[in-house]
Amino acid sequence: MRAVFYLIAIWTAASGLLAISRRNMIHCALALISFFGGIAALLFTLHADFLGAVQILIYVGAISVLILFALMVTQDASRLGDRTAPFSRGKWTGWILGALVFGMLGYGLNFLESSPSPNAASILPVAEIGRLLVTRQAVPFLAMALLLTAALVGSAAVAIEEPSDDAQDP
Amino acid sequence: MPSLHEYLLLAAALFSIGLAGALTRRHIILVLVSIEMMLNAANVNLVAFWRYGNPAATDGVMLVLFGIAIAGAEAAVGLALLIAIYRRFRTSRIEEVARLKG
Repeated sequence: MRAVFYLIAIWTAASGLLAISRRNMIHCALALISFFGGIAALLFTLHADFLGAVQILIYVGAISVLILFALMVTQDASRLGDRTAPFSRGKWTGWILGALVFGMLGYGLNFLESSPSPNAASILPVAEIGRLLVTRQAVPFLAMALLLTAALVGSAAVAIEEPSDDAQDP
Repeated sequence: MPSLHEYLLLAAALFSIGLAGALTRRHIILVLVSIEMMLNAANVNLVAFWRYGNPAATDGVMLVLFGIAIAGAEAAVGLALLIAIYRRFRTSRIEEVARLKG
């Protein structure tokens, strides 16, 4: 069990590092899909089967396709493998800041007071979640439905082609 | 079964990778991708706390569900904005979209 966890951990971290460090954008997107898959596997090891399935459906399925689609739409075929300057000027600040945050979080984890053992629940209670969604969490659930509708309409409105003639204006 | 500490450390590492990506990459899509990676790392944290805490307290799991929905909406709107920006500026690099810059 522990070995499986470490395998998944290395897999996920390596995919994440690849996704932010490859120069070719398509490679980044493919590494990202593998990263999402690793997260889903982590959720399965935590016995949150439902969330793992949701992760696969939404991230590995939908968001990956969305990102690949956006990549294809916004780059000329000749620039897809563009290797010139993929990192910003302040990249070293970014790397150092990332390492610093990881160091701080890892240091803080040393002060974890107790090391609890996993609870006896063998699996995530999906029926309970469904019940909560229509009782105690009904208001956030409806708000979420509203938000998703607004996001759908909004993104269509933003991305739609306007026939105005100042589109040529750089 | 790995300990809670290991899960939290892994989530911290994934979060830091996402943060570094958001700060170092030039391409708008990769910045969005890095933000998604940070959200995913936070989700692992929440589920780990559910697993190692009280199984009846499903609040963390609900938060993950809502978080995934918000992340989906964010990705859709962000990529729509990216397409609009690309049509307008013919570029998808953050530094070249500088019309509002003083």
